[in-house]
Amino acid sequence: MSKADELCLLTIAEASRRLKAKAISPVELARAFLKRTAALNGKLNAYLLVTEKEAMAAARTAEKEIAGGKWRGPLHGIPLAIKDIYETAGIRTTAHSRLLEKNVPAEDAETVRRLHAAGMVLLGKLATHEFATGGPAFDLPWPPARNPWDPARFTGGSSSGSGAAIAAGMCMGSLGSDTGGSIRLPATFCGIAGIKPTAGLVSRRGVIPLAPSLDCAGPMAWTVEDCAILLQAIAGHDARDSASVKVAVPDYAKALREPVKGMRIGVIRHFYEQDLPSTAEMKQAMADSVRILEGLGCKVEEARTANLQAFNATGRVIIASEAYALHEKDLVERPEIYSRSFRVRVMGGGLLRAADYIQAQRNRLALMHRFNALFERYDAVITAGTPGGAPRLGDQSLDEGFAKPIYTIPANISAGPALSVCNGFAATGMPLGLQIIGKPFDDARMLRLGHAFEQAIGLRGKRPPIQP
Amino acid sequence: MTAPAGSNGAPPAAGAGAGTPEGAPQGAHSPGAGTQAPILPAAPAVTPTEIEVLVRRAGLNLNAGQVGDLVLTYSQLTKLAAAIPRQRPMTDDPAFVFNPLLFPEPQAAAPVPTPRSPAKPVPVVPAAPRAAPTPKPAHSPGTFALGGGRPARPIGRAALTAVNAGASPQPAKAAAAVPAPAPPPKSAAKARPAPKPAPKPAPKPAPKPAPKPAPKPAAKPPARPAAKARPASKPASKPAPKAAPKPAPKPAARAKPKAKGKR
Repeated sequence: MSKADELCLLTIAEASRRLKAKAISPVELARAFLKRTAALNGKLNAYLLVTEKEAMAAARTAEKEIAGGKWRGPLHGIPLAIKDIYETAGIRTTAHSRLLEKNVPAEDAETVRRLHAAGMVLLGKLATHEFATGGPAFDLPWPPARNPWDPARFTGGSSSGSGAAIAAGMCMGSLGSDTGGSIRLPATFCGIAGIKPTAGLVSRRGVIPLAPSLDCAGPMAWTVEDCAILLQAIAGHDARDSASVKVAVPDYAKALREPVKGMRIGVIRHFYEQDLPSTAEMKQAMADSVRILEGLGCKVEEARTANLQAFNATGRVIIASEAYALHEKDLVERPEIYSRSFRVRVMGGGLLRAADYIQAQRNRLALMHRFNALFERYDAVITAGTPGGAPRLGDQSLDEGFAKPIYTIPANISAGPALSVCNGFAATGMPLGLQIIGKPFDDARMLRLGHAFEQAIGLRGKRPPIQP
Repeated sequence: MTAPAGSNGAPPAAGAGAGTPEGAPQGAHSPGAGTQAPILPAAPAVTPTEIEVLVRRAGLNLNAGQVGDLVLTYSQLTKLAAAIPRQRPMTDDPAFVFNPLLFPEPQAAAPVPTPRSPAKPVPVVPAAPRAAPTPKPAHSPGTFALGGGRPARPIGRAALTAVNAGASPQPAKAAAAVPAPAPPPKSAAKARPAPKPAPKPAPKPAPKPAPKPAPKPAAKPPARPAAKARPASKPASKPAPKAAPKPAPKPAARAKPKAKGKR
């Protein structure tokens, strides 16, 4: 492996240490990533747009600043890429849709602005599912992203490009969005870490919405520690996002260093054993995860909450209704401009009744209370991320998600933080993932537990076999 | 793993599986009853004629293939909608809109002891002139119930009073501050310190139940990041968004050169 490729496989934390110590330069780092991206993107379709010029300019600025002793923090000079539903000033933002093919926002999303302020080097914009919903679509101007562990397989979505690019070493971290699992599903299928933060902790201003009452913006990276670094930079109140909450933002990096011994953990087994039975491999990975957590000194016991399908029904009705309302004009006037996958998942929302939507919202509150009541007894709950490893690309049925529930949606209903961490591999070589879910605004503790778990399981040394 | 113990709700109804919401006693009126059986019967299969009517009423103009797709998912969606419990008291919650402010304050860095006693110096801040306008009544969060209808733990006052205090006066200022793209370049480094003040409020409530001084520090730090506007690193590549009246031509011109790098 070349030295440039080695640089691409560093974590943000490690690269940051070297940048600060001037052992590597931001320009060298950006070049390495651009080169690797040029070599791999044809196989993975992770990037919709590579902003080479801007990246090099930012890297040079970072280099000067660091050389001049102006180190902005752990993201200074770090090459990141953003899911293409985040608005970027002067840089095309498409939401992976023909509808926005020529959309060039004038202003950055608030989170992007914060990352710029923290000194990131923006490498480009990443693939998603159209408007962060639907599945992989082949009738759009850009093909769907592919999984670097096996390009014939699905990345999960909707932050599909983010999952693929991070796992393949084409960027060090990314921002994804999560309405029903769109950060955690690709994190699981691509074997990386991703956290859906507590609703209201991270601004969504400038993030093209899917279902505003459930949408969350959050970080994705190779490790939990890197997610903590990214979350630190983007969390915090934004007066221009009406759902943003003004709470103190803890020191997430510091939280990682605190012990997990004595933490009380509930395992929601019925999700993956009864409600939607997972593969034997995933069940085994979950059993192993429990043992690891016990080995860390956690007290683990079985927990129960509402049936997975109750969360799914509620979430799906809300998502379809809200997404339809946002796209109504275009769906009525020019439905053909959307991918079939998007239309199938969203258009049904236009035929639902107002009472259906309101009942779903009322039920959401009830489910939220019930789920969050678990945290009177536990510090965190865990469950599987997906039923198994990534399926083959194209094996997804159009009504996926309607017919079968997903394990990730309860945390969107409950609004609390939910972290996805790699907890093993299937026989196919595809990664498996564990979800760690907490009570609202307890993001720091989820990161702490996830970090300890990740260290203990020791899988971060294994990267996808794909080579430039 | 210890023996299964933590059953925090009714066990799943017999036969509850994918496609069936968990059954709980009919008519349960607690907030936890959100999982009770639906009162609506499963929606009958929709005929193509009915779909046509619905599609027309929605104003959609679809070709045959698109209608076929819609039939596929609409029937799934109606099943999901029918599975949502309807038998709920009219007054079970006065506002069914999700409000994140109603959650308990995070127990920052919870179980870790942190036996610090420097909480004392902080109370010096009490010259809290802003605390006065705390419009508490707005949210009355303390009455919110969590799980099974039990009254919630006292909501983190620090967070809420901070929110309430800042809610009215702050937004206007902060909103105005955000777009201002004229920050001193060196301030970029300062963008980071915002998070630091966070840990402070945590130790306070633990050692001393001094509620008044606590809200202050919590309310201020968040305001800072908003004030930090444009990063120093980007100006070169950015289109002076100030030229608000003429945004269309500029971006368009820019779109082309950028798009070249596509894929």
